[in-house]
Amino acid sequence: MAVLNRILPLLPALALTGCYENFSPGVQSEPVLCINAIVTAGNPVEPELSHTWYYTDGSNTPWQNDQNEPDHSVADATVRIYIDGHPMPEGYTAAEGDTIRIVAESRTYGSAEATVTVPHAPAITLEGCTPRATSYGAAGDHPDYAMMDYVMFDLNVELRIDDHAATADYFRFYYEPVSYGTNEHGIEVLSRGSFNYDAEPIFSEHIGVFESVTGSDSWGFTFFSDRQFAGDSYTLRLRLTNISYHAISVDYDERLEHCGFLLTLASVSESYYKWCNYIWQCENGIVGDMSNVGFAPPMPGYSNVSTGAGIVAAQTPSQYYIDLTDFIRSTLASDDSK
Amino acid sequence: MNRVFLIAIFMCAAALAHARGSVTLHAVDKPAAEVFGALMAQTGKNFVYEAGLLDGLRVSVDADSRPLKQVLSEIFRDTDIEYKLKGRDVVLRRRQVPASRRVIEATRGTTGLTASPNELDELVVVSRLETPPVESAELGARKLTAADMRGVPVIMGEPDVAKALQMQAGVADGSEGLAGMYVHGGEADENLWLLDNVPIYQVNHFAGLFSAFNTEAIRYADFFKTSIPAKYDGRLSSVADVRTADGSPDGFGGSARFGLTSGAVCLGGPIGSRTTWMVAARRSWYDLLSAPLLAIANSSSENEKTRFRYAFTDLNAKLTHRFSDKAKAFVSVYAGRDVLKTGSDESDDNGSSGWCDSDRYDFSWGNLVAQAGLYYRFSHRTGAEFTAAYTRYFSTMKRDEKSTEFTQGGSRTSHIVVDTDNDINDWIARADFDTRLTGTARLRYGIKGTVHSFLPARTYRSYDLDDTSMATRDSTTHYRGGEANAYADADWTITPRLRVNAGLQASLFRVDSHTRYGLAPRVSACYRPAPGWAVKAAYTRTNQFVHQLCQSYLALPSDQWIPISGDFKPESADKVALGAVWQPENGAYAITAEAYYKSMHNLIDFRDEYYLLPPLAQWDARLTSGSGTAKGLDITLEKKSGRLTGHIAYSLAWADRTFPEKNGGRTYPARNDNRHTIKILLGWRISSKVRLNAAWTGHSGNRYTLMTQTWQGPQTGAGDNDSFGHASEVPLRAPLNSYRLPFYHRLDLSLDIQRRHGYWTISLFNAYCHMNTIAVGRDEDRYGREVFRKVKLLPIIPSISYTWLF
Repeated sequence: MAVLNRILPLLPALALTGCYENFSPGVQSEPVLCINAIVTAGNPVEPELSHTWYYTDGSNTPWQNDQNEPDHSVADATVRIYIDGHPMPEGYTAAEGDTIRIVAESRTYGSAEATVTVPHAPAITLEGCTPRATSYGAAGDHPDYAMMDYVMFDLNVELRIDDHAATADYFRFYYEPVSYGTNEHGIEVLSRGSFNYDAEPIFSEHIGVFESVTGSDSWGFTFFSDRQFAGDSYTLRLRLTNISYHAISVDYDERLEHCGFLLTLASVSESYYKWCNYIWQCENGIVGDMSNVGFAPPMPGYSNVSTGAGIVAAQTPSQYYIDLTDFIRSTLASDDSK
Repeated sequence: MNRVFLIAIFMCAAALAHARGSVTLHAVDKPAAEVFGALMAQTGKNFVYEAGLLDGLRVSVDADSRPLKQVLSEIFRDTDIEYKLKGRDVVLRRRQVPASRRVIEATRGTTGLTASPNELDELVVVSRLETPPVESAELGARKLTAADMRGVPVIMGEPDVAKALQMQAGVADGSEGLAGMYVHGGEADENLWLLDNVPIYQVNHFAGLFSAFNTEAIRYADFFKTSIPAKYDGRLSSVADVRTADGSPDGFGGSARFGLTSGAVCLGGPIGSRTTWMVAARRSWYDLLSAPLLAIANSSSENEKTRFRYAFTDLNAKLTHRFSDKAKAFVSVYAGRDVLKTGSDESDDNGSSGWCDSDRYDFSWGNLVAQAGLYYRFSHRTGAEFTAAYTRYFSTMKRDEKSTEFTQGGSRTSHIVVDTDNDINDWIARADFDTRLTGTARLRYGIKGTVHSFLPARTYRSYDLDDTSMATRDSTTHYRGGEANAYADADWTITPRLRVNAGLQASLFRVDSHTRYGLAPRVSACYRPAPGWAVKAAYTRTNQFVHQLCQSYLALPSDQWIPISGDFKPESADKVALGAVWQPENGAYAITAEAYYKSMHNLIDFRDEYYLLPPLAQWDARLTSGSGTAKGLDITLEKKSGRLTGHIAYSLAWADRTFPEKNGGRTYPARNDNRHTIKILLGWRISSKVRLNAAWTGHSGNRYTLMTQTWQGPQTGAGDNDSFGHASEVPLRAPLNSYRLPFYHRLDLSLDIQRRHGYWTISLFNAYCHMNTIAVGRDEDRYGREVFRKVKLLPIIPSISYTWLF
């Protein structure tokens, strides 16, 4: 609602006086099959089948106790999966370049199908990695702990992507801290820090001008396309700040010093990109905001399934591990107070 | 027989009136109104008089090239009516009524400076430009005076030309209370708005709550929705040519209006004997009202301050100089601007650490029109209007966000700036000629050249974090182009019963090294089988080379005008219409009926799910082309004089769209596919000082895409923010606009109360507080159950204003 928050002052009379009234529109519609599948290269294909429901029937749907979500499963459906036009062999795991077609049929809800091609893994190269400590300290002669070390630091990473020519490619970046786990205070030894989404403009390419100037940002959204570097290379400038390393241990434990970040850049199918973009547009885009109050057409859910319900998407990740062990050790070693 | 007589008068007038100020007229025992029609044609004077003043008055006059004053004196010699020449107006009144300033003020009203709705018992303004519908060949043409606009009660009591036009048959309004206009199944960007013959692109203030036209500065507006003269082209659905007033040559005068949300002032007068000036300004004072409220709110918190300021301003200025009876020139400027500034300052300081956030959002958008014009009469047959103009629409939006964290070890600052602007600049030169070939034939023709410059968006983004800086500048294509137009339009009264108007406009539009052309033929005919009756037929073709991209139904500064580009073809429309008019000789009533069918081609709209494409992609990628049809019947019953005036309009209409890449290629109803529409506009003169205006609108609900089915989204777990991968409930696509919202109806009232130096206007928008449904939302009720909800907007809104006349 970021956009609307900025526009509401413009329309105070309208916003303050609007009201809602519950009603039944009296429109009949039939449920259809829904297929969801996020296929990852190297993993088996596991589609989830469900059916759509009339919006106001949602509350009356039986709930699955374990997931606390309504049960819209389909009992009478058959699912067939084809790989490059052939029935999926037993034990199949998705491979780059495979075209996967999922066909489902149900006597109650009809049929549905969707196709996705598993994208090729992106070619990535680490061009630069610059950790910079902002503060640090070590236990020194602490009476109770052999290790009581901390390092606060920033990390600048430059990750180059070499794009496949002649295809429209979509990507998703994410990262995870890798460390021994939690220290004796239950705190992760290595935190995620803050990822500065604004530092890399390509994460904002899906944001329209009006959304940008009204405060919408790309927080949490790291999908992008190769539209600006098709067939060429592009270097992502990734900036993490306020990362904390906290090693607390009664005894010296070398394993706590082994840490780093696992960077993942996945090629994703167009359907995956559009699905996540749809979610962003609903929550932050001008159309999503305006349609909620009747000032823009409503936004139906994006789907690449023939019935309009469900997402069949695929991704192939490439990963790079940044080892920060030496950086942590050298930083702590330079602590004069130790 | 009367018609024959009148036509004969016109023929004589055209042939014999060779000297300005003199008239030639032969009439024996004819209705005075008819005789004045001939006088208007010859002299260019307006006649202003109370309703009923001329009832029963029959005139005999025999004049050859005699001064107008002599002729008028002869006409009124044995009557109780006297006349007074006031500039371009002839004011008529009964002799026993002493000369009062009221009439003078009313006279000013006709020249657009000021008008009091109750100065006279009833004011009838007969403009020389106004042809009774029963006589003209055109269908669907309407002239609105400033007084007409003031007679339409609107939200916040602000007289508005756009909302006055919304009360016409076949014209649908936009979102409730806003100024959007959809004519005969068209879209909001298919209406050509002209200010003194110059296009104006942004016609709204305050997201459409007010139009950009200050009624205080308007003399009249010509509106064409079916028979569009060949002079105009460039939009598919309608033309609204708004004309500003000249200053009064009779002395300084003006008006000042004070309302709850805005105020306006209009001043004018002569400079010497040949020059007049007019300045009109309007400003909202919403910011003045909000400032103290914000100050109170901000005083309650030291760590959080909110900024907000909104204002719009308008300025019209016009200087007119009459060189001679043959030549008159003017220069005028219009500048309109909206400013919105908002943001906040927040901070938290606990001594050892803290943070401080500051964000500012500055928006500014508006129009600038500057022009110079020359009216020149080459002979008694041929006159011309030469115009040189510059029109500009601009929009700038800026976000400036600064965040600082303080710790004992130092501070860290991030600074984000997003600055974007879009604009249109047009340089226009045009020449319009009007030649009276014979007493029954008239030819209008002209040429126009326009240099266009479109910049749909140019954005600068910068991001600074400590020692890291990043800046980008992206710009969509800067379109430069040119447009050339030529037109000819002939109006010929072939026989006393048959009148034909035929014209053609040819256009060349060049942008991006692509030249596109358009031919727009127009034909309309009027056959009068009996006195007071007319049967009409019309064919109109229109072309449109630019279109507006709007993501919402509001008029926002992010809306962009872009030219036809890429593989898209110019939009065009063909419209045929049949109509009938009945109007008695005294003109007190009129009934018009019009049936039309409109076929629209190469329409441009956003694709389905266009918002999923990167916004900086070529425009073409987000747009698609299709077609549409509209058909219907408009019937209007109008009462023009008496204590009760107004009209009742009924429309039966269908409108649909077909886009191969929308709605699965299936035809779907347009949003404003309102099957039945009734509009009642009444003005009741309760007394000489009090007038009640009422406007009731009722129509079948707008079309809406109601999505009733829901599906479960996938579990993707994308990144560190699950919201971008997971959506529990997603609406299933439904056929576009397949649901009709509930019947819409609303009554607006206004009461004008005359005082000694002006008048009060008390308005009630939505008088019986029926909150109409504008959309259907999906939400949960208080028990967490999913429900559909009608989204309703505006309740009753009272307002009051005072207009001071001086």
